[in-house]
Amino acid sequence: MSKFNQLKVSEKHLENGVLTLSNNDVYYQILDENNLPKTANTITLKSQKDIDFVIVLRSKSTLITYVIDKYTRGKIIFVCENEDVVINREIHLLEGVEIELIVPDFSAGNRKFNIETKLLGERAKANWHLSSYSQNTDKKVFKISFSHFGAKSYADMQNYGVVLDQSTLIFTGDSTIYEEVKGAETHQTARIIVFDEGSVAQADPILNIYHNDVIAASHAATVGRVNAEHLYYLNSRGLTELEAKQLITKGYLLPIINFIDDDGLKERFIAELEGVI
Amino acid sequence: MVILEIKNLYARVNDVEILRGVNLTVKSGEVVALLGPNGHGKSTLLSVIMGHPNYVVTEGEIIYKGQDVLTMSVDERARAGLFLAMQNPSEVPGVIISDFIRAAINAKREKPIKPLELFRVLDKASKEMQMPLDLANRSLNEGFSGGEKKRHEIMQMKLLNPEFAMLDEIDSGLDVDGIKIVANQINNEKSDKRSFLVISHYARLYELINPTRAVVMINGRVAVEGGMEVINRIDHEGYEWIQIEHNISIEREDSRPIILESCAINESTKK
Repeated sequence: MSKFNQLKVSEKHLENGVLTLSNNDVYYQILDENNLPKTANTITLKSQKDIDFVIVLRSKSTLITYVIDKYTRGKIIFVCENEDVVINREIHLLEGVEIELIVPDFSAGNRKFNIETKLLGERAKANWHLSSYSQNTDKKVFKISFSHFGAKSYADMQNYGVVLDQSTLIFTGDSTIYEEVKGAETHQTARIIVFDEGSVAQADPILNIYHNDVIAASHAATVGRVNAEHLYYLNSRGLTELEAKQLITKGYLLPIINFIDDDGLKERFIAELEGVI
Repeated sequence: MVILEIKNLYARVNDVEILRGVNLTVKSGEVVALLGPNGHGKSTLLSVIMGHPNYVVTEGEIIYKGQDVLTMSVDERARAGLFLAMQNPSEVPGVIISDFIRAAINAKREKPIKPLELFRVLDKASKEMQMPLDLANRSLNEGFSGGEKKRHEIMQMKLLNPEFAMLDEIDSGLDVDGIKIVANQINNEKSDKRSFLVISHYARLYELINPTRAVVMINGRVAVEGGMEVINRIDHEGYEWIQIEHNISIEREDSRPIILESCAINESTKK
């Protein structure tokens, strides 16, 4: 059973276009962007205890900004439903924020994501996990950026994907450490397995470092066919090619649920992936 | 009853001919020891029987229980009862062992195994192999020591009940206790309905599992067949006596064409 409930957004949360969600609002709650008041363009999340929050992403023509308030910790899980999702989002991390940003994207439809996380405050820290499954004629294009403005800020971006059939999957990772930002650290990894001839897969890692005093910066990207030795090993135990590929897909995409605590949510994502592979 | 028959088998990898006319017959219930110097085709033979995609069979046939193995896919061979415990089992990141074992067991069954029964068989096999049960929640072979990988191969063999089990250097990487555990389990699995083809460089494993007979591969074909006395003689004297007594010149590894994977080593040891 999931402990999560649908969040009821009321006008009392809203002031000058800023929707403020605090404490119990961001604890085991699901925010559906369809329920956002029309005038809300900024959503501030803050809490004393670790937040555990789900946001259902919906196509919007305008920029929406999520601000994570000072010293707030915890995790935010972004989900999509079986529909096209075109979004432009910023996530602002203020001083001392430590946040896990988790995106298990196993549903069908096109994606055009442009998400920039700005590490504004000192020691802001973010771990990004995206697992995307792209099949049929899905066209999934993710541009994920981490911009370091705060000293000693830290970001680690992990993008994993499996692409099949005639579908497209593109990861663009853009990590930038700006001038005069001391002691920052930024990493990114993109890995895509390509199953079929007609699939399109691309990983573009970009690192912009404008300051010489950085702790570390790295990027890794691999796009490749499924390892033939792995396939042979699984086949040699009686698994058909399809069964082996399903197992490899799960092995590739499902470790993301290890970052989720709620059992109900974990089961939901496992069932969602098992339902499509 | 003959379970496996190999006739005049030729196979190559990367354009290098490794198997050059293998003839071998294995009967039900036999435990056949497969010996030979490094690079003379033992592992290749096992890989070809299992169907590794890198090997190309150019001539000959393999008949298993009346079926033409060479026309079957790897998974069809496995479901028909062939099993290969590999020398270097792949690490498959993220694939959870219990999921993998369940899929492998179900591949041979009409009705899928029930979760409780799966737990029971895993628990029993783990205990027999003296491996922790929580291993089942780990990624397949990932981060396993050499010995753990080998024990896990035998554990899979026990769970999948093959009729023809091939073990490729299952004793390498195992410590003394590990060899005993593995040998005990092989002995437990012996039956008149199951045959084994076992590669090892050491008499120790063979002494523990007591093979029915021994086969020595040299220059890509079967050169000598015999009993335990052949194994003991090779253990004490190496392979030189075969050159003299059987009038076979053993090709040295570095006198043969270099294959891609080993070229760096071979080049550096060339005089």
